[in-house]
Amino acid sequence: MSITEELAEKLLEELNCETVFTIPIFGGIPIAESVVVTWVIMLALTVLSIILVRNLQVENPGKKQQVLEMAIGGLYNFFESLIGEEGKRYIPYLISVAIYIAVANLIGIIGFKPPTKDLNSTAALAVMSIVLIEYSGFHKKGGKGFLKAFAEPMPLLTPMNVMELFIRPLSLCMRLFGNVLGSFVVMELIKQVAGFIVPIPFTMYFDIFDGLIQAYVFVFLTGLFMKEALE
Amino acid sequence: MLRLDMNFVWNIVNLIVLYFLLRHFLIQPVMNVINKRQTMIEQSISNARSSEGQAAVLKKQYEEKLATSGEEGAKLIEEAKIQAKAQYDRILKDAQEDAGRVISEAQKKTEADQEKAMREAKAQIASLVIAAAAKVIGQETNANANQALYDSFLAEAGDSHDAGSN
Repeated sequence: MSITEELAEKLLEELNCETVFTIPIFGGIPIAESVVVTWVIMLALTVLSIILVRNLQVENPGKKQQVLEMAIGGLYNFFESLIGEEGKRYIPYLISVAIYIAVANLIGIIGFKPPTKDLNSTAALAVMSIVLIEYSGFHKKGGKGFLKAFAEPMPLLTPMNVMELFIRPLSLCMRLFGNVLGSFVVMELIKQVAGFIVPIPFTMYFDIFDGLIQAYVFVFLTGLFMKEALE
Repeated sequence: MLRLDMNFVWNIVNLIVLYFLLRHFLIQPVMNVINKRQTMIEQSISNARSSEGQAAVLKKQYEEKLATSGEEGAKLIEEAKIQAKAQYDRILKDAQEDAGRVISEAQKKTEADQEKAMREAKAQIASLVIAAAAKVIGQETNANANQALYDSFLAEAGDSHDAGSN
């Protein structure tokens, strides 16, 4: 077996999202790695939240609380300025998604496979986003206004607007998936070629920088589309 | 690699659960604290504003009071001055009147004394003249008739004398 073949095999193994276990009901329900890692992330985030949120004080906040407030308040203000007063009720979801994607993209550093490398995960995120976007428009304008909005700015563009309903989640899903998968592949290749110290600057870019940028882009676009739907 | 199956559904469930967890445990508590602080700050600012306004009103009142009290003081002093002047004038007038009265009384008294002295002198002179005339005539006629005669003579002479001296 040549080195290239070996490399390809290893790479494929890394790329595959394995089924961790199968629930033995209804003929076996497979549970993928991404789902399990998401559980881990959920658990970690929840426990961390409970620990961080303890003893919050209105007056004289500690350093820990100031950092926490800066992070959550900053995210909140960012989304508020993006989607405005009307979209206030969707801000907690956007914050949750931002935190989740950021953590999911960065979790590769500590050895887990990023859940966002699995198409199921990014598709779920994107579908949730488009559902929320359309729901926000529906909630704001009502059934009639929601349908009318498809014929704006002019009836000629209705097919475009209908297509956007599918293009938007697809692009959101594929952008996230492709970026994470691509950076994962590049990182794996680099690790195979030079496994010592050399990957550090690359991991800084591909794992940390790109991961955070993708988290930002995903929630930013979701917020932007939501703002459009609310107009 | 590119597979889409039941795990899609699990991921959606995960997302929704994560949303509720984070909202309940992280976002709501933190935002509550931030909002509470915000309202507290706004409240204290408005409190400060209102007490500032109250202080300004009080200050204005005090200044007005101070100004009016100054005016009142000036008025009081003015009144007191006027009263004092009136009293001074009155006292002065009284004194002048008293003095004038005393002087005029003294003058009257002097005049009366003078007149009395004059009259006595006239009487003495008349009796002297009568005596002299009696000696000259050498006889004592009706003393009473003579007395009247000399009196009238002296009165005429005194009158002319008075007119001359005047």
